[in-house]
Amino acid sequence: MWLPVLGLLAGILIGLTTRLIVPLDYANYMAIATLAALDSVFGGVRSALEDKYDNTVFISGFFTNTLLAALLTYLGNRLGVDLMMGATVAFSIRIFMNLGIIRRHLLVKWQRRRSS
Amino acid sequence: MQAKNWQISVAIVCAVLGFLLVVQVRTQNVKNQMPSARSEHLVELYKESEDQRKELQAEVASLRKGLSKAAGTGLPAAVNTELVKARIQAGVIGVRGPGIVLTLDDSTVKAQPGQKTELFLIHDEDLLTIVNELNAAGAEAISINGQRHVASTEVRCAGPTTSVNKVRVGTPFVIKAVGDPEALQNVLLLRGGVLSVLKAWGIRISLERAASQYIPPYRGSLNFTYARPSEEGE
Repeated sequence: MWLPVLGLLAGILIGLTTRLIVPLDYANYMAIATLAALDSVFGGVRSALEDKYDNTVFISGFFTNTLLAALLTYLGNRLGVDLMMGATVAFSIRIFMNLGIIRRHLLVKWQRRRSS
Repeated sequence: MQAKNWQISVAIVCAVLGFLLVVQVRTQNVKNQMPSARSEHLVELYKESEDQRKELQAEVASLRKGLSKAAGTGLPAAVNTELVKARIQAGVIGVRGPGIVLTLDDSTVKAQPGQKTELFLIHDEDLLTIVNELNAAGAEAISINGQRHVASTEVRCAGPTTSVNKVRVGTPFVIKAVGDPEALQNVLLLRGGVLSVLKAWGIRISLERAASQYIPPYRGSLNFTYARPSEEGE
């Protein structure tokens, strides 16, 4: 259970040590990629808690979501429509939904452990 | 095994997430700071150079004062007289004397359709013509809006203003000249002369004699990068 947290810390550490700055033109893509990653993490945890986890689905979902979001952002830039907002809203809704489900699963687990 | 599997994958994605988060936050910080930081920096630079300029101007003024004092002492009277003459000619010393004050302002007459609006404004050429006429009438010192007219003085159109001694001046133009008031006045009021042409376009003109007026010295820098004194041809 602690492995993902460790991974997160490792990622933050790498980010801090590289002192990388994305060119400002690509800041939007970076933002949407971050959201996609966040969404994937919550989705993965949720499916794991539901015992429906499939590695292929998880990894492919992460990449396709990121790519699609980036594509939408690019298209939005070209068309002059903020399509990025669509991806942002979709990801946000999914994150909240997944978080709610994760919370319920954890609550159920906790209550079971307490009653037993 | 399955349980471990999901943890490894999620951990990898979590690592990516952490990396992305940090980089993104840093990028946003840079993005937010940049425009304001730059303009602040520029304002600072501007203020600094402005202060420097003021200091240097004060230094120039005090140095010139010292020079004026030093120039007058320890020299034979004849040399000193020559020096004062040269300094008045060069315009590096303020002068006082009788002369004329000419004030010009743009016309209040509205241009008729088909007429050029430029004709109702005062231009650099008008000022140059006036200065030329004044010099012809024996003016000994001339200033335009407080800028002493010296050998290197330019009178040049600079958009809505005019550049004199690299300083922008605008209407109303006040041209002061020290010399024989009668001669100076007459040369400007010649029939068909410069003022009569300007008057025709409705330029507002006020020409007065002055019993005693002050004309300030040239305050710009005196730099000669190319010219060197030479005795050739003498």
